[in-house]
Amino acid sequence: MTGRATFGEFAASATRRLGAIVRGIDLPDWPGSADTCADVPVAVHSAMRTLTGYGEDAWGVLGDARLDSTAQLRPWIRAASQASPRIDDSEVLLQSEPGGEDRRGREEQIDWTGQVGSSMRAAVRSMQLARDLLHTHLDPRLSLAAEGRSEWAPVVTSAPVACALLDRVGGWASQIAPVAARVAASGRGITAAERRYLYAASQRLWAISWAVGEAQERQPVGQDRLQLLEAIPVNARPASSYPAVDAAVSGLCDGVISTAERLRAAARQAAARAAWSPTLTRESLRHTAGCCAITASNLRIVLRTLAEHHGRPGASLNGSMAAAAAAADCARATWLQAAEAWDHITTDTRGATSGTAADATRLALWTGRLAYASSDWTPALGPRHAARPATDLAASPDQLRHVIDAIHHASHTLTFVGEADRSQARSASMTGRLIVPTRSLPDSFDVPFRFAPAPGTRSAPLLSSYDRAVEASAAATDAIAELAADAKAPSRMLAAYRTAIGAGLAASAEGSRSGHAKVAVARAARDHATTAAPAPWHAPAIPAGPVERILLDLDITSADELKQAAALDTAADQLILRAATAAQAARPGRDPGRSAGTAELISHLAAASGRPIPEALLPARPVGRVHGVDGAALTAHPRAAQVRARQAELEAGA
Amino acid sequence: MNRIIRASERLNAAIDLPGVLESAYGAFENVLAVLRHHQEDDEAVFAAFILSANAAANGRDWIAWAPALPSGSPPRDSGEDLLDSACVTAVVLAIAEVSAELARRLSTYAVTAADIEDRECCGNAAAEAAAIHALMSGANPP
Repeated sequence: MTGRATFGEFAASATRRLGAIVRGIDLPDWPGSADTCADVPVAVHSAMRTLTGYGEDAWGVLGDARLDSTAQLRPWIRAASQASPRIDDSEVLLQSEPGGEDRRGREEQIDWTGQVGSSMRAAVRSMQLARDLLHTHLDPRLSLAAEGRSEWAPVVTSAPVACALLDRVGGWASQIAPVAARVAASGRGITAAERRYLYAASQRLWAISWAVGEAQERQPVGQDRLQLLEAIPVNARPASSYPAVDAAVSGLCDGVISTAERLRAAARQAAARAAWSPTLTRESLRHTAGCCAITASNLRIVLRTLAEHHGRPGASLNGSMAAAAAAADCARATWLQAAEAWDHITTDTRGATSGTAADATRLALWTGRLAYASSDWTPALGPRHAARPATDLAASPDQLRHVIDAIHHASHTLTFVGEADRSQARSASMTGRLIVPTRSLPDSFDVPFRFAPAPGTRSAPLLSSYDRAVEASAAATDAIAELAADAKAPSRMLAAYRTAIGAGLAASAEGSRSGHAKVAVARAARDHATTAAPAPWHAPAIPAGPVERILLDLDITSADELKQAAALDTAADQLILRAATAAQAARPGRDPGRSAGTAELISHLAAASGRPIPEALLPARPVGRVHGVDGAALTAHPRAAQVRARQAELEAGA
Repeated sequence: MNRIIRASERLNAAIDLPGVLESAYGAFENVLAVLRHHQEDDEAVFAAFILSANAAANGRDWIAWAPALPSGSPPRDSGEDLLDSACVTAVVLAIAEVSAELARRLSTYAVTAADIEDRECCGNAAAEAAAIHALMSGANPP
């Protein structure tokens, strides 16, 4: 799907090599000479370690999911438990054998000349590389900010993919078990202890295989989930690039895909840093929104060209393409609204341009070169450019598939960027980073400073414009996904990706509320075992409350304890709300948030309650004045502006 | 009289830094309004008009940060013509002309203004005006 190494490639290599060994078992003279078998115990031991590593990973996801899961996952949870590492009989047998440690230490020094041993070693290496590839997406640092290193992290740590992973493990176990058993039975080239180890290992492998088989029988893993696992690429950010003047359609498609991937990575990073990032500027967000509108427009042109001129008139694919073109046009219009919403608002930082904006520019350029026939198309005005002819876009079925692949990636990226920029805008709004020039406010505002916090009448349309852009981009992506499925384009995995993310969101809804999932994923990466359903990178903006945060600061990751803390925070919010509503006749000038402790509680209440908070909780409001961002009054009460901005948003939303 | 002509007249009439800043602020606002009004008139200008509108909003915001910008509400041009009856080519020419003038006047103060922050704001606003001119004339890729 991306041109990078995928899990499926390594996994297939391991399966192929093991399959070759298994096919040889039935030969009359197998396993041949003693030399051939001498290395098998070490190879099997290495395979066992790798497989139990996979089991540990799956258990990390499914083991924690058992707290909230329905009966659907239970067979897979049992399978994960079976495959998880343990001090079992086979391990003890190998360790207790005099020289057993030496045998394991020899693993790296052995000359793997024997056919069985070398083949198995190569297979195990492929299995290890496949697992390492998955772990490139996870962040080993334990911190609240750890949400994985890539957009694939939520997929890697999702329950459906964990089940698919176990399915793979079960398959490998069923291939290795008979080999171990046959070598043990032959007894050639191995010691008595190694023979006992191989018997025990084969039993354990069969147990894993049977547990997975039972789970697959009771609750089959869909083919789409298996394919999604196979499609997970190594985490590497493509280099930035610009289209060459003489680039062919195929090269342009590759450029669109790699630039789209870059843009998604940049957007994801920007969303995580929104509260403090100096590159969260009006320039960046305006430019990104504008470029997304241009990209959507380019996608519409490609789809319209294909719909009007590709294949027989009235063919079913043409109808789907026309529908997708209409959806892309809708996305274009909504992105345009997002860009226009930035006309009336600015940010507290200026000048810097984010990586997201730079990559959005490149994606607009790449898609423009694909949409238009001119080899030097740019967004700047110039001679009128004709659309690229359909015969050029779809010169062959493979080329058409490639074009659909590219526009699917681009559309998926628009959705992704919309979610990321919406998250940034919300963060900026909640932290008081959205401002307006006071000269743009009506004369009725008496503002002694050049800028003032953006009133709800300005920020609310901005935020809702992103909602519409995300919705329309997702609809366009769904429409293009149908084309990708029909054309069997590699990008059809993106639909499975979004489904898995959606499943992860649903499964982790409770965990995300408490902040538990974030910690769990970080812990999982650190230990090479995930412990929760994934935290989406665009997790809800509701912050953890004071009690919950203290637990998180103490590295508490127990779901029960974190849920209890979240419940305490919610109860405190409700108590304060009730009390404040009853005390509307507040003393003039009283500021209940004057201390750090109470201010934190009220700030959390403002963010989490989802409705206007009582007047009695608001800081004292100077009569007839609005504080500017560069004013002393605002500096003295920075929280006041933030809480009032939040209040204005809620009122505007109401 | 349309907004672009009015903006050009104010810009030409300005004789000092506060006057130039005041008229430049209004000019960017008017360019932005006209671009938004016409951005969907023709598919061929869509991309250039969007990016130019972004640049106009950025230029206006840079002017708003300049310390020498007079405080108080600027003149409102809301009732004037947004080149409703003009063809896209005429709109492009009008905006290219006023953006070139904006870039020229602001560039001068980017060097000569006494306050360093005024110089920075004028310089950045001039760059945004130059970007609009480039997009309108097809001079540069993005």
